[in-house]
Amino acid sequence: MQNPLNILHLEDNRLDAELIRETLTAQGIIANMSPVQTEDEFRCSLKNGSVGLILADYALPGFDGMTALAIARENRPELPCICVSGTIGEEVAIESLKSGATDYVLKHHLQRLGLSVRRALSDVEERRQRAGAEQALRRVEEARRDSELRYRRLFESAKDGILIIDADSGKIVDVNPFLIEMLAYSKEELVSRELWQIGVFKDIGASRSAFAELQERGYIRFEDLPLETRDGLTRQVEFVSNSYLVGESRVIQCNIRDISERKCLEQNLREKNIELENANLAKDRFLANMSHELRTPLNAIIGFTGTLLMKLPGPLNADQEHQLSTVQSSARHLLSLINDLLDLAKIESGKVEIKYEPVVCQGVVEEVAAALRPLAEGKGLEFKIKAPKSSLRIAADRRILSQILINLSNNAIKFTEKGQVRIELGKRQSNGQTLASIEVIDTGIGIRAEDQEKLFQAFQQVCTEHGSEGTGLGLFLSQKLAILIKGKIEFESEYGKGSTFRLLIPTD
Amino acid sequence: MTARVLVIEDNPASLELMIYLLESLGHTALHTRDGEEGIYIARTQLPDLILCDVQLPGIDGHEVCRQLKSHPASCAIPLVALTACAMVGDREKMLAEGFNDYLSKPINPEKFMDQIAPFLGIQTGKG
Repeated sequence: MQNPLNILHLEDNRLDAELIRETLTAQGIIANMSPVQTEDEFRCSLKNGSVGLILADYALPGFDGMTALAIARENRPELPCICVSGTIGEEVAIESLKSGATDYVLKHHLQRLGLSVRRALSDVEERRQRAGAEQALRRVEEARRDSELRYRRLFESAKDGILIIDADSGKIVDVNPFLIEMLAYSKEELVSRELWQIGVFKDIGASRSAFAELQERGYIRFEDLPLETRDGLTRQVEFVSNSYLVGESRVIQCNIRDISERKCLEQNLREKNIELENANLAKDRFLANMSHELRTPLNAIIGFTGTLLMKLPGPLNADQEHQLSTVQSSARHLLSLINDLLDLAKIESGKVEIKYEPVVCQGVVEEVAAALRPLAEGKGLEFKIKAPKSSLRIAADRRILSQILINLSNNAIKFTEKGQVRIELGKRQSNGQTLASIEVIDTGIGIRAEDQEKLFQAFQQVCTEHGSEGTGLGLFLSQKLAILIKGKIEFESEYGKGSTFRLLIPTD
Repeated sequence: MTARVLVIEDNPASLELMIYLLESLGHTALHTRDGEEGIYIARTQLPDLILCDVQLPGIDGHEVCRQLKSHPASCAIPLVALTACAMVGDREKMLAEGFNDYLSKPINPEKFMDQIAPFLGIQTGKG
């Protein structure tokens, strides 16, 4: 025994108490004896939790063994209690055992005491162990019940269909309410039947081969499987199966998610996309046809006006020449309107391909000047370039850059009656960035303050004394093109004195 | 220099313009409004230059180009597309198909002479 045994010893005779203690020691039982004589002492000592055994004399003055036994049973039912008495008769002995005594030992027979104590303690130990085992078993059982309950709740309330199949026979063991509702079969129609007997899995060959694969691999998954419900409706499902052991038997759990709605949405989206693509193609075709159909008659108009003005068929009088020139410029105006509209349509549909390449600004400006100088000089205007000697290099789409500068220069010439149009090249700093600045400066009519904010809007042509000549798209288009090549157009204008349009493009 | 120029063009007004311009410049204009006939004329008459519209009834300008350029009798004759298809990329597409040049409609009659001159061995500038 590892810890000394604490014995509550009810005994009025000190000699007997001594004798009993010595007997126990002699028999190898090391014990702390707590001797008590009265009921009060007895009750008080019982409260000591470390007491492991009671030895009780049977006959005490004012207190007796039977009463002590009753008190002990009531307060510490687990404590073994051995009656030790000199005056116990057989009947009393039996009576005491009936009242719950563990054993009884006669004082003149104390050689039995050690054995009796040992047996009582081992009984207590055995009871304690049995109680522990029973409690552990109860806990396991409770845990199992909790787990079953949780599983059941999940199974019953899951928003996915769940099917449990016996992996050996293929018979359906269980099916959850969600699947029953999804497939419109009753539980009875499903449970205990083989998987392939159910209409849902009516492709028997496929069901059997899937089942065989599942048995072999333990896992199977279908992203998109059509299942037919009892009502003949087709449901698109995501089907995931696992097989695992439950005790001795292997089961297959199938999780079935109805993705019909998702599939339907996806399908709608695909159709909408195709529609959109077709609409886009139709628009592109329409634009191409439109361009073709408008250009064809213009070919004859501009062409024959040209031959007449070239006087190929013969001389013209002054009125004829003037009127034909008007036809020619109107036709060209119509052509530029068509071109601008097509350009705009291309920009709006993101169809403009931008090819960045190293561009020397001086080169582009020279080209633009060469193309437009005759037009300016035809009106008696100077067309000048002011540029630094060192090359101003940027990365830009040369064609787009050129188109912007042609638009701006054309406008400048159009709205200037005397003086000059000048292109100035330079650099500017803005937010730590070095920008190339290409300014188109004119000494023309300028723009009224109230008209300035409408300047970059489509079809917002500012009225001038000589009517409206442009398409109303030029600046709108130029600004869009500038943004396409990561630049922007600014302007300053003083009515009556002239305007400056400035294209700014990052140099890096 | 007088050249023989074949015009394949289905639009009557455009065809009339081309014939008038070519003849005014002193050239001889052969013409047809049909692609297949154009190929036949090209192979039998061997003009100095072919101006070909692209949208034609029957076989179109693309097919005319393919057939002319794949035949030894006609592959060396300069072929210029004359078209109202003037969307971005049209020019590059046609040059890639084998056309030697591309003129978009409406043409500019004042520049027309200079545009065809290189194909007739005439120095560009003044004819």
